[in-house]
Amino acid sequence: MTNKEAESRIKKAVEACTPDVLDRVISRCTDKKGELITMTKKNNNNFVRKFAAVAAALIVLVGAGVFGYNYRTASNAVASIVSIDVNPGIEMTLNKNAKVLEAKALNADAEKVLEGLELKGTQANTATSAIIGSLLKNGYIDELANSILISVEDNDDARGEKLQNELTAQVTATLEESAASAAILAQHTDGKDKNAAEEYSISAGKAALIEKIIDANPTYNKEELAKLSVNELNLIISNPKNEVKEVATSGQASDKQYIGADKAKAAALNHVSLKEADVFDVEIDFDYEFGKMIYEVSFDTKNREYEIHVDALTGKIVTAHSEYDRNNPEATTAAPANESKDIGKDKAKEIALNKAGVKEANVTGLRVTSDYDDGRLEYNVEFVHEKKKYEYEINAANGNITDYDIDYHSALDEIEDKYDDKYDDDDDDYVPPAAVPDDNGVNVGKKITAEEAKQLALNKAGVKESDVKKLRVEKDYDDGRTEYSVEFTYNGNEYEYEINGDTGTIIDFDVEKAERFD
Amino acid sequence: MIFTLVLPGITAIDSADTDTLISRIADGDKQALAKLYDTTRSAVYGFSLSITKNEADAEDVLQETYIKVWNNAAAYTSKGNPMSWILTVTKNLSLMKLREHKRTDDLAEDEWAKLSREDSTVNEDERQLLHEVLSILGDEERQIVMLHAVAGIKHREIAQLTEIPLSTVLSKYNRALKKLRNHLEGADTQ
Repeated sequence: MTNKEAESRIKKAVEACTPDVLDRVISRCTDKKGELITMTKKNNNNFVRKFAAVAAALIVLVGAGVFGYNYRTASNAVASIVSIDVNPGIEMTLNKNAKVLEAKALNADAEKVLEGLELKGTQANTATSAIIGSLLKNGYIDELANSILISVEDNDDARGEKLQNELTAQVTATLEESAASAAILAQHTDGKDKNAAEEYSISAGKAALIEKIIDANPTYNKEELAKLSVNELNLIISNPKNEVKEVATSGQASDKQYIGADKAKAAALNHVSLKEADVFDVEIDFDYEFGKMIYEVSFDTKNREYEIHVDALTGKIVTAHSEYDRNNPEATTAAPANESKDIGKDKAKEIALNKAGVKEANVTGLRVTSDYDDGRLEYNVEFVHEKKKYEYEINAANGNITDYDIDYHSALDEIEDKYDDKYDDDDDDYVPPAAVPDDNGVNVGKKITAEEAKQLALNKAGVKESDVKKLRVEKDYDDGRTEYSVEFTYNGNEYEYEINGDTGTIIDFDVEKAERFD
Repeated sequence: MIFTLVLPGITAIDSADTDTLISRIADGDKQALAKLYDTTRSAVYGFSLSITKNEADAEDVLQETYIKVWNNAAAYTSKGNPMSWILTVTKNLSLMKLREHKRTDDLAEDEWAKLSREDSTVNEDERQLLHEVLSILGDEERQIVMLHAVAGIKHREIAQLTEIPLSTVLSKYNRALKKLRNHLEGADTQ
């Protein structure tokens, strides 16, 4: 089952389960409508303005369409643009009878491929066949990199599709003759990506493919993807999370220049000291991260989920992440909430450094903090070693590592860390619930009233009660303690404070822009 | 050689069309409201369900969302992203439902499965499947899947809407889809 199939299955289930409440909505809308007369009137003007803008845009579009049509009907006029990308990029313009008007090399490699080929005036499929032959001869398609991208841009959808199919068949046939196993990507484009294409000296077809990949996974950027070969792009889109729309694919992109999925898995398992038999649901996919091709290896054990990124060329670990599978009941029982024992900060630090296999003297930015999570005390140990940031969450009762993360550490992160060191007041403000009752079960700290809670929040925000609107104080009982929630708006912002009623400590606060309505 | 055409699995709701519908709604056009409701109701319901985990609440939110849209359409200024606007309304209403419950009585996790509605219009098999798939996902995973797979919202917009970092949205989506595929494949072979 593919991601797309799973998505459409869920979508279908939700559609089938959505109750029909339209009648109820409509009946309640009538009553409310009367209040809105002035707003509606005002909006009419908006609507006219909006309509005028849309109409103006349409006129421009129609004009362009007519112009485009005339331009494309003459016999020496461009009807379609075909680009063929491997790493060399070649663009051919065709007339309406699919004869080549011009073949253009888009990079230095492509000039070599086109050398000695006389393509002007030939049929598109003959020209394509010649180009593929030259790509093979010059060693641009081989067993290490075998992906070819064919893109067709044509205003006439039917003609474009026909051309795309013919050329794909032609490429397949040419490659079969030479017994090369190739992976073909074929797409129909609309020429919208011309600017990006010019900026990075790639074909509009490759730019369109990159646009589709970024659409599926916005963490990539155009500049880095533009540098990759079509084979690398093809490997990236074989990863289910990067599945692109409206690209026909055939064949398998070659992964022969990399270490291979088995070695990547072995490296990942070795990193977390697990054996093949301990893990299940193993998935290995290609991805591109920090300027390199990686294997994204993910697997589960009985109560943990792992995702480890392995450098596809060297087999080195790039990043590693692991966390408890919180949906698995065994996960919660695996870590007993034994609050009475505490291994101490130093022991937690030692456990983390040992796990990372580094010495304290060699790390920077070492921080050990404690926190309550899911009702138990945890130590968070973080440090930087050789440009990587390590973070460990350690159960204070038994010293087990519950979560950890190893990631690249950028200059920006360092600035943030410094800021945190200076201003982070989490540890000072937060008093965990276990610290509230003392040995005799008597509460320490001072219980506060709703009035005091309100005043605390206003003081913290630095505002006066008379200046705020929508002030609301609620008393609640959460995590076994009394909590006050104080909310108000001031100067277009919404403030929300959560205050521990037993100690008067501010547990959490949030300031955000107020909604347009409410 | 086998050619497979990758067909779009998600039909995103057209922003320009939706903008026009909201303009007409502001103008008092109930037909436009009905059209908007038709094209977006499963996205709204699914998203609310992923937050409230309660069918009755999600149904209330579904209704209230369109009433709010009706009342506030005039105040909506097009930013080319009407679905985000509508789903922000849905999110706020859903969170209000959660707060209401928190104040009265915490809704236990297993209530989720028990809250069966007697509704002959809903296909019981699909309902069962929906409950299963949603119960295997974590809170954030559930919301992200609903927003992407059902509402057709882009990951970047999901990050804004849910205030979850984009990289987390992507990795959680990937994880969630893996769980769903495993579950659905298991269900298919039974």
